[in-house]
Amino acid sequence: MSVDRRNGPEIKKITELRIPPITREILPNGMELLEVNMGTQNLVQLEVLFRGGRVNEAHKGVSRAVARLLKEGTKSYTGSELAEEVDFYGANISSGASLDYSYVKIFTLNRYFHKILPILEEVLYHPTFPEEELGKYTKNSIQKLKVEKAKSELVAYKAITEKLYGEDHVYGYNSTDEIYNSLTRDKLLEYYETTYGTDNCIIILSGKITEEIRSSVKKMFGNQSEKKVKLDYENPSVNISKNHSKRIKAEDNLQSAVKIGCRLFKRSHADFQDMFVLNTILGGYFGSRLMSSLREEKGYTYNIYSSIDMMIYDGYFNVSTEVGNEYLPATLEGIYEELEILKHEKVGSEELDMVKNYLSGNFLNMVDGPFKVAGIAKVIALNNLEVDFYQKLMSRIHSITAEDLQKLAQKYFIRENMVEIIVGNP
Amino acid sequence: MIKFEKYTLDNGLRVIVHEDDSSPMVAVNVVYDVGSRDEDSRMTGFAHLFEHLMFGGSANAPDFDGPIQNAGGENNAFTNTDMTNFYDVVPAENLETVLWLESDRMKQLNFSQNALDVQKKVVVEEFKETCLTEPYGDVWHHLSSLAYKEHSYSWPTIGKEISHIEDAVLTDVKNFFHKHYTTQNAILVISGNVKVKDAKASVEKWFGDIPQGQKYERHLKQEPEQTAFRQQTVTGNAPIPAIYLSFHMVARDHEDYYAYDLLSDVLSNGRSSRLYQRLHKVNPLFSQIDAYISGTFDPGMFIIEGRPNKNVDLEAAKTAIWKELEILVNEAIDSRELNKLQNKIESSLEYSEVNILHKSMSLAYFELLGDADLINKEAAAYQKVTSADIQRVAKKIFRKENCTELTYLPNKTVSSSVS
Repeated sequence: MSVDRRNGPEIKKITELRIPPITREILPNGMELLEVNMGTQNLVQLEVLFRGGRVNEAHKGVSRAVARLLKEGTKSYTGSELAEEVDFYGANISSGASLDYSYVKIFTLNRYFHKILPILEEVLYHPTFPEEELGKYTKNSIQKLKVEKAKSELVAYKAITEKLYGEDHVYGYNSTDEIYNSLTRDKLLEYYETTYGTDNCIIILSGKITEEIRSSVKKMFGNQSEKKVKLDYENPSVNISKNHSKRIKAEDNLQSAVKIGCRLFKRSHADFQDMFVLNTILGGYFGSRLMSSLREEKGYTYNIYSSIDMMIYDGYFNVSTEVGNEYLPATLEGIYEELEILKHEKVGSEELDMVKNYLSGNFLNMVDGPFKVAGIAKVIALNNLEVDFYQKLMSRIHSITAEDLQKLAQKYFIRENMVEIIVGNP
Repeated sequence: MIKFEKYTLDNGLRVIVHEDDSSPMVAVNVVYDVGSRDEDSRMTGFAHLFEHLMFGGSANAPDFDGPIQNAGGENNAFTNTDMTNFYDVVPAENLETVLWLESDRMKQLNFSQNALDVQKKVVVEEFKETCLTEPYGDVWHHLSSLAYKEHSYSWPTIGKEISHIEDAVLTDVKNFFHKHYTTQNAILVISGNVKVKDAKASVEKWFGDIPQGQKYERHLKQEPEQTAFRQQTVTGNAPIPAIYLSFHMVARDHEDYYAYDLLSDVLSNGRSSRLYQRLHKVNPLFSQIDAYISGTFDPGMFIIEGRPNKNVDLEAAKTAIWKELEILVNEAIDSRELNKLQNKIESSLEYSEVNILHKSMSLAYFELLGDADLINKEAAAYQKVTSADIQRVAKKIFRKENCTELTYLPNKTVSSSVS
């Protein structure tokens, strides 16, 4: 039997998004506990989130320092002892702070969960922030900053966020040697006391959860005495200069890093769903217009994409690429041209269908496995979104029209509002 | 334990199917038994350039990516020294679309001058971005040419120099396709929400009629034993100095491979590992320090990489690393430390089975190495390693005459001016 290769197999449409169950419970002390119980492997992940990152800092840089130093010394363990104990059970513990929230996460074989949970309790509730460890953290961070400054793409990222939000805004400022050097143990303690509370805490337990694991988690966290720290943060007004472009010289570089973007809104904004689709068409997947035109047709770059970067209180759009210096003028022109085309011409039905299909499959992949579902639970909880946020997004993807997209492009893709950053040797 | 069915089509294509109905997706891997080690030294980077050309359309599917995206899927590929791996993840109901596309390009790729011209430019930009603009980006160029004098591992997969990529012509593309991209040199793995019976029927339908090509026989010059210490200092885009110590070790299929892997774990797996604790935390000589193995099919490298802190003397930093290596040569690790390594391995193996794409890739990888069932023998192979084994392999490789040392220094003081 010979197969007909000329026409590919019929493609089946994906229209429904079934998110595996996420259960939610509020502990008596106010903590929010979410659980995703599924999976084939004997693994458990427990992530503890605190609303509060850069947004509630009294001193710049303090939120990340606190999160990192939590595991460098506690009432019962030195940092080294703690690392040894966690590694011994083949587990992993990580901590950090983003712009909006701080987190501590453990990952372990479920048969060692009972060994790791008490260590997590130490890290969260009995950290000592030793002076010596702070000194090392400062020194290391300054070394890392040096390496970061040599990465054009990163320099461009820092420049665009600073331009979009202003250099004093929590979403805009960049770490400096001075910021790291100004950290003190007292500042860390103060931040810890005002951020690691019970009424701003979200716990996400995922993986293969036994009854024993569940009850030990409830017991450990439930035993913590109530500590109200909830902040009423509102995104402060943004003061930015009129000057929208910035060129940063990086001599000897054969390529220039480019970022072009504008400020948008947060996830709950009425235009979020449509912008999600519009961005995908422009630069959100391999078949996007920017990729097709500037990479696959012209060969100016290895990679070009656009994204909508969402924080809790705000968000921004940006196009990003690194191109050979000789292609820089043509690339900039090409990027603006793609924005204009979206404003002036309706997206064709074939392309729109493809994007709808692509996104539907992508959503299916996004809920594949307990740790990916935990990621979804995290976005929903941190942003106070409705539980069917993603299903609603999925159905909007299927109902959106070319007219909707064109109107949206006209509303947001305004050249005068775009900030343009170039790092390289133009 | 990963259950799978393995068989060979009449045209020599090896097929592996693994069912996992916990996922709504299916992952497909097509691995070709060719990597940069198979390249001519005057045409380096070609295997990777060719990988890009595989997306340029085939006889019946002018566009590869479009139908995958339409099917709700994602696809990509990578090339390394030993293999070229193409992978696709789609909702399970659209598996047929992937098999159509993958079989069509295996059967008859389009040889397009335009695709070649564009992808040469794209790969040149990739070379610039990852090797010439990125800090320390060309370290593999330096290190591999210093460590390998005979073997084709002496250049990195991206290519030795940009001109080799620019010089590629369409005849090279055709020859490479017929030499390496045949059913005999390929392995197809399907894993995810699919029944073995259905997968088999679909595979026969799409791949069964591809004519059997030539089997590529590999005859590579092997690297002779290194007999003298090698040392080089280079300058480049390095904001802070970096030190690389590289030691020749065994091939991936050697029985000692697992002992070497655990040896690298003793040094740098996790925050309690020796280099991290002793040379970063307790005595902060390095802002960053790592040990890892290249894990290549032919004998590979055991590498220690560190970035000394400000005001640390580079020679003192190197001496401190050597002191740690000598401890491993002279003293067996105790049972607690071995136990820790085994626990770490157990959890990382458990984690490696969470994701269907990961499982699919591993099955393809092990089949290429010799037997897909190695995926189920890994855990036991690691458990078998003793402290004495680790000490024995440490003794074997941590010798000055087996060492290649590269020191990477800043070529300028980092400064950027704003206009």
